[in-house]
Amino acid sequence: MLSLAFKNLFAHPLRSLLTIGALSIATFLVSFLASLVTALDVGLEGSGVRRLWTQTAVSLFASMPQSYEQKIENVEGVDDVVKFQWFGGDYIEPENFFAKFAVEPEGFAAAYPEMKMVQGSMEDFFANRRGAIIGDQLLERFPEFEVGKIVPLLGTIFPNEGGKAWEFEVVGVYTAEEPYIDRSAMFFHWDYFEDTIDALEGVPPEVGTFVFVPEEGADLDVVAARVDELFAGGPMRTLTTTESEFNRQFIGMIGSLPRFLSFLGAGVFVAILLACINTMLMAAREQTHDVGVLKALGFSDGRIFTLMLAQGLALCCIGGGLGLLLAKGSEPAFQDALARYFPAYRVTDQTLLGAAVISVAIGFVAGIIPAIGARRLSPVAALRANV
Amino acid sequence: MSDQSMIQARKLTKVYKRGGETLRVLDELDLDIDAGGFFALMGPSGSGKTTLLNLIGGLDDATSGQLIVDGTDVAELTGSELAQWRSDNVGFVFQGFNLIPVLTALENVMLPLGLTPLSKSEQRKQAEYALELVSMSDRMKHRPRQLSGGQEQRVAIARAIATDPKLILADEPTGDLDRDSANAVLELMTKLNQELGKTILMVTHDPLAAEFATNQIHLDKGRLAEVRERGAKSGAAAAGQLGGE
Amino acid sequence: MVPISYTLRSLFVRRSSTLLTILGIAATVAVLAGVLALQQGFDRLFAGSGSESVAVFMRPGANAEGESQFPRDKAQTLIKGQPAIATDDQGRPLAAMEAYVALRLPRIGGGETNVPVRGVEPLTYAIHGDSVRIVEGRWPVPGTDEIAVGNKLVERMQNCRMGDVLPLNLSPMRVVGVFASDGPYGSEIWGDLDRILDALERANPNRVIARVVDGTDLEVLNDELEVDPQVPAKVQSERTYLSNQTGLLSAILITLGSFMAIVMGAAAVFTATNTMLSAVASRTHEIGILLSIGYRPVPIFVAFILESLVLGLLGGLVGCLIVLPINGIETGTTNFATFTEVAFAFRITPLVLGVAVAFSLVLGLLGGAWPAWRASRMRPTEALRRM
Repeated sequence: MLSLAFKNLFAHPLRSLLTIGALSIATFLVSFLASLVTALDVGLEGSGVRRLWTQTAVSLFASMPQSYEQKIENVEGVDDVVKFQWFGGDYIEPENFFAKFAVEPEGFAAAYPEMKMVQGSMEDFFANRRGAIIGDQLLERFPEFEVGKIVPLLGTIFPNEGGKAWEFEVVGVYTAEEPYIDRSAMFFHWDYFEDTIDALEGVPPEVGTFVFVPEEGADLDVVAARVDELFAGGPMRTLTTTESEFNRQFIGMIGSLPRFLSFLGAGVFVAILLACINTMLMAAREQTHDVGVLKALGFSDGRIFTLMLAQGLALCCIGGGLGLLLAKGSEPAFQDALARYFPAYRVTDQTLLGAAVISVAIGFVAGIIPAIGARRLSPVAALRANV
Repeated sequence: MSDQSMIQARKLTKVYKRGGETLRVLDELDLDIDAGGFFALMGPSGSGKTTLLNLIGGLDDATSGQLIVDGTDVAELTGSELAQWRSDNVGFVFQGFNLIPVLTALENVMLPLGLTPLSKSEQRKQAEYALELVSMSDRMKHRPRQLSGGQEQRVAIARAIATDPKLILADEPTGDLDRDSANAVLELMTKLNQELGKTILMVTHDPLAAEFATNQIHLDKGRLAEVRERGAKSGAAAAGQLGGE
Repeated sequence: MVPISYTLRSLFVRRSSTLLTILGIAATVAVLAGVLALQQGFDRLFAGSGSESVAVFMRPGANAEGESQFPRDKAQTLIKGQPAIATDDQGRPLAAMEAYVALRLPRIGGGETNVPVRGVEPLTYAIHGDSVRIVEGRWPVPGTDEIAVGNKLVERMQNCRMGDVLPLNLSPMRVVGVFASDGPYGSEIWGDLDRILDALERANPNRVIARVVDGTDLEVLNDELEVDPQVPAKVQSERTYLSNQTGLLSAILITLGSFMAIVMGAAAVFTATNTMLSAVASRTHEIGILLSIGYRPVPIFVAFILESLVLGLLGGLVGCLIVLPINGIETGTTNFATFTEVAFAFRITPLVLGVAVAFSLVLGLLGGAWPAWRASRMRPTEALRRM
């Protein structure tokens, strides 16, 4: 019975191949779009990490006075606070965008134990005032950033003297297993940053983010509330959240993009569903006569139904399986290609499972429509049909 | 020949509605066919031959009247019971052979055996035996396209007898064949009738083909026109008992 | 030539299969057109709205006003001393300083997003002229804690209706007007320059805008000012500035749209090929008749290609009909150049429709090529025999 289903598929190898091709493309596209959404949602992971971020409550683009550092460190449950500042800056031109931060190296290394050095070491970073460490994905994108080389950055938010480029020496390359760690970023010395700005403008730079890990046993919510209460009266109100909560809010700000991608996914789904139903109906029409013969031989309506359904499911399982292989197989290529926009592009098991369910669902619908038709077909009418 | 009745039709009527027209294809037909005979069903186009065959084979429902085939009231059976009944009791042979093109000769013959409780190896054995009966053992692995018309029809006959039904229904089995192939098929059917005791009902246009049958039944406008035994000259129309007596 | 009615009637005879194929192509075309409409709407909002006679002065090196800082003293020097700046009928230079910060504000319906708040001077309105106009209430009184909100924000953001009070860091600001703009200003909040800078603890405005004297070549001016020792500045027309803002998102959308179109297009071509193969197969006998009458292979090839093109065209038209209702629908998306949310409408422009229809014809052509070739290569005797 099943063998008959398979043999029918092979009766029109080209057609079955085309359908399988369309299906694998659909499954691949659905997985691809879902993986983009995964990449956006990646900040939601790592919720177990006990890192708090203090930023201004007013704007992502506003900073806080340096005096806040001491005040936060005095809060009960807080030990050491690390200053971060978003640097901006262009490497040659704005299109070469990647994240660059001024950080306090020792505190930074302590707060981010997830980062593993693959070239150089954190000690090299601590020792070199103009040193910078970069993520391994950034090195892949700009192979010229090898250890020992100088990276020139044109200041956009923080211009250097006379519009000259800032120069940082690459002293180490880090990687991380955790997907929420940005592996295409660059970190350099706060002190070097501060001294340069201070000399140029006569005032030290403000701080974009204070990062700290509360003491063992301290309640994160309580600590965050204590910090924010401290600055409720100004001069800049603050908002202290866990790192993953901040990421979640940040993704929320991107707004309609995930919804838009889902909308595209739905379009793909509909198009391919129609295509598969079409193929299965064409196949069924050509099998009308065979259905008549089988019925005359005593095959019950139920068996005919199963036969037709099996054909649809078989096609979709093959096509869907290929699509899943394609999605998983192309993962590294897309990680490279999308490193700039979606650095956390990953095809997760859930994505694969979801896409598999969708392709089986398409197969089911595409199989069941002609199956119902074949089941209802009167044997006399079926036999009269032209081959 | 057994004097047991195989088919009993009483006031059998079939009406088709096509567009606004009603077409009375079978008109209160009474017919009795005894088990063990080889009957040729003849008549002009539109006389109801094929419709009658389809009703007997359970492929179609009668509009009214009664039809008992081998003791079973066919009209009483539901869809899946009817399918099971067909599989157990009737073998079909068609004008266009109707082999499944994607399956080999052996697989085609095994097809109806798949509906029986037989194991795969038993199915295969029985199908091989059926092919042997029709002298097609050497072509078992061929696809229908690789066979001649006569060979295809012999495979189709093997498929019809694979489950060992008592009744074989043949619709113009020689219509698409040349004279030599046709004669071979007809001889084969005679052999099934005489040696295996199958009751055969064969629709045909061809008077030469009809000569192979033990009896000829003529229909006209949905009614019984004439019944004739082999060798007998044209007899009077009769709506009575038929058979080998 | 094979009569065109043959082609059309053949499509009608197989209408369920034709319909499904058309719908499949339509879904593909609709996805492409949807992405393009998004890109067009965004592009038109920015590139289509800026004025050529308004100049934007930023600090050299800055790519967007959020990155730029323009100290007051330097701004004053520029405004008073730059001959390219036009004057009003009272002889005042038509120039104004502006502050620009993206605020974290709560959306109606949950979540936060980044809304630009702009500190303006009284002359700002005159510089923008008719492209920014009040539609409800009035403009804020200079020097007070009053604000006007862009009309696109009223229904999207909390505390943005007339009379509402919107807290800006520690300063409550009252909404006294709603304004509209052809450009992205409609998604902004405008208030008094000094009050906004005060509330946000900022020292410097971000940019200077000015109406320039007719015939000013801004590129020449830019070359001069970039190296000016007193007031170094980067100058662009407002139009150029706004066009540059769309680059990244446009690139993402066009890349995404093309990628989806190619991949889904491949699936659609597979389906169209399937449909046409089945059409050719079921009409083998007819082809035999045509050949035996004396038709040459070329007209037969043309007839089938035409059939496939009609199929593609119908799919394209239906696809356009499907996306037409999204024309004018307002949505918000992130402008990645400033990471603020901009409300804009999908625009189904003639360009979008043209691309969609051309794409559908290409799908039809590719899908029909192989089946049509096969049909034209049949031998009459074989075609007639295979009844």
